[in-house]
Amino acid sequence: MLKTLIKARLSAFWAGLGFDKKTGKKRSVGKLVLFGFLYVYLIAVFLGLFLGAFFLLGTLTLQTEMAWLYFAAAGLLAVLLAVVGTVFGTVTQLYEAKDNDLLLSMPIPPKYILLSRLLTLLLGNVAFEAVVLLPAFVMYFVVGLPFGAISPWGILSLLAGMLVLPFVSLTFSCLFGWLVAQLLRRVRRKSLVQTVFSLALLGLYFYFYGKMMTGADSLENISLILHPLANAVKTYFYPFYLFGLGCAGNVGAGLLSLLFAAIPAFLVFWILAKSFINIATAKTALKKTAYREKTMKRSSPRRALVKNNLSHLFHSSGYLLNSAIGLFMLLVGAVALLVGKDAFLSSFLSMDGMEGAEEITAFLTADALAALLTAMVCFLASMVMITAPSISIEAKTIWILRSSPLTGRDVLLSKVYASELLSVPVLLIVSVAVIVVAAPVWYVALGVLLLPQLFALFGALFGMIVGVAFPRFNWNNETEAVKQGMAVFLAMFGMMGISVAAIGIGFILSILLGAGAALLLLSLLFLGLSLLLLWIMLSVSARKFEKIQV
Amino acid sequence: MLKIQNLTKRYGDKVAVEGLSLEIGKGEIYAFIGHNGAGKTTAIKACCGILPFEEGEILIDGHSIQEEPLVCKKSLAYIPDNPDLYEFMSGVAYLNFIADIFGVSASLREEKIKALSEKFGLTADLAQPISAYSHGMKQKLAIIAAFLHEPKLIIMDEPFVGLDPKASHTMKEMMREFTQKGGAIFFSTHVLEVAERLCDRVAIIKKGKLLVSGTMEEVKGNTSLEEVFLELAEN
Repeated sequence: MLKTLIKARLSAFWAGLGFDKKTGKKRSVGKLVLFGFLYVYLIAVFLGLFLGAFFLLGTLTLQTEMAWLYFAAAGLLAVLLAVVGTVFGTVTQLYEAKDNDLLLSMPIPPKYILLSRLLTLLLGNVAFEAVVLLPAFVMYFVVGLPFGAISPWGILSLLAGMLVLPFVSLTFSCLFGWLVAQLLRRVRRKSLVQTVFSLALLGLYFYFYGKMMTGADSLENISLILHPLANAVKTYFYPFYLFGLGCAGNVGAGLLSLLFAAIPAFLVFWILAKSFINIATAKTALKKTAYREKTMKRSSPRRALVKNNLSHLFHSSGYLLNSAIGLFMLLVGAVALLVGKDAFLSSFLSMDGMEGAEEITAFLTADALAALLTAMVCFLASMVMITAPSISIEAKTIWILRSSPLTGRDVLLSKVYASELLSVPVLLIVSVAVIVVAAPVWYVALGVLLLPQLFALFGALFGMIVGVAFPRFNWNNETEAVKQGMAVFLAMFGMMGISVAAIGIGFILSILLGAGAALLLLSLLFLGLSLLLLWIMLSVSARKFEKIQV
Repeated sequence: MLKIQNLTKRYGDKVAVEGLSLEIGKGEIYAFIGHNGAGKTTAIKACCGILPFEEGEILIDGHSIQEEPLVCKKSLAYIPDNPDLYEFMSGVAYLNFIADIFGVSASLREEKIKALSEKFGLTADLAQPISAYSHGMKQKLAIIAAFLHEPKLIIMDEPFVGLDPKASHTMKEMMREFTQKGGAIFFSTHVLEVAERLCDRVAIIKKGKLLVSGTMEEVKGNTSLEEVFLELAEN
């Protein structure tokens, strides 16, 4: 029975990857290859990021008495990433699963239902942790071998860590998931809670990642930076300190860290097993919002559509976080740029002692710095994909638009407007921050203001066109529509590729003609391309939208 | 009001509706009956401009749904078999959205929302998010939205599913009032007793083809609609 349950959960996962849920047919080889390539690319990016980080951290710690910090950092980052990555999955699969009622009505022991869910969640944790632990394992050999810092115990401990740490993250996922589920049951604005919680977890993760890797770029200040970090791990993450010590050769500490992992895990899983029926069937009645008649206002259909699109975005944490994360990052970047203006400028413009510092400082004029920052802004803006999944998420409700007196043009334009309504002010703030920090001449400043706006407009139109061309309606959870599907992949990687190409072209142009000319010429290019895409959207895509069959 | 001429709709090789012809006049309630998968929903969606079709013509108040979709859609309202509405909106926000799309004036929408939601006992829940609504409440909201913009033709797919007896009764009354004022209603149903008592005309469809159509008396004669349907379905 347990086997059947696990098989059902895994087949649901594989069906999403290899089969079209609507037709039940296998996806074409071409599609599978493309999806495979994109997944491999994504994983490779993360692996590369961690390989680099652990190479530097290993160089700094493995041959010193602080070797434990390498392992502790690996363990802590792995657990944090897995918790961040799986906590909402835990909420939807464990506490708010839609098939809880159905399964509980069948002659299946509740503990089997719980176990099948925990096992599939555990697999998710293993996958997330592998992204951190595999690079840590590889770099342990790469860095450790030349220094003779490898020990069989270290290898064994890391392997044991790979087996044990997913249980630790699963324990935390279950705990945080329970808290989130309790909170979500009691609040009306569920998406707001989910968004804030996700951003907080993401922020926390990057805070720790940044803290741990800060020492890695400054070989001269190892003791200054690593010792406070080591103290912080000892004080606030004692079990991970023990885990690090264990991997570094302290058997007692290693065994103690196992206890630290096992006791909470046992307690959490025991409580879950005892109270699963209550958890799965719990419902908290929310106090009804009283309806009060108000004077109603009439809006134009186009305005109503834009409002509807924005409302959908802000009421869906999955949509907001996955499609507008670039805007959050841009806002954070703008604030950081303004607040840390002096530190930022000194780190960029004074590189005494560094190899090639003179050349870099000579190149980094105010104008070039503005252009460089604008390139970064455009890259982040390429992560704004509000329009690409906007057709897929209509799915079951598309009949409302299709049976209303609206043209395809009205619908598509409203979605681009909604995207622009959000990105225009954010990009304006970021551009102003760039101008304040870099203080370029007026025509460069004009480019700083124009290019991100036109790039974002191009991105919104591009997303809209691929969104209509490759809609995905066979989803069970809205997040699937936002995260997966050809339209989202094409928009994400297409825009990333285009931004990299544009940065390359801009770099060459700035060497040949100067930063101002490069920014303005690129602005002109994206204006032209946007007009072309607008024409395609209003003609080809609008007609296609009017013929979409769900 | 609604004229379907030789409608044929295919999904790849499969013919969902073949050569369907029907005519629904002003003031008529027309029932569309058939077993599951007979092609009722396909035909209904084609009438609303949701599904494109290969052959035939559909005219709404004399306008072609293919040639003048906006003119047609302005005068019709559609209620689907499953009321999938915008779950992120509150009930009143959804009604306001529909009123905006159909250009209903502020005063008329205030008056209509008040009257219709009171009729269906939904007033107290209008501020709730639709995601908190039961199936029946969503169905009521979809019905209110359909009547809100004063269409000339209402096309409904299984409108009574999920409605409680009181709401069902209210719905039947509203359908009669609507047609008495010159409106036309075309709806599919599996509740043959309702069709028999409520409708002026009826059409029975099987495997995409029209088996019989006409006034209720013409179709059922001295027997019941259920007997006629079962006999036709078996043969």
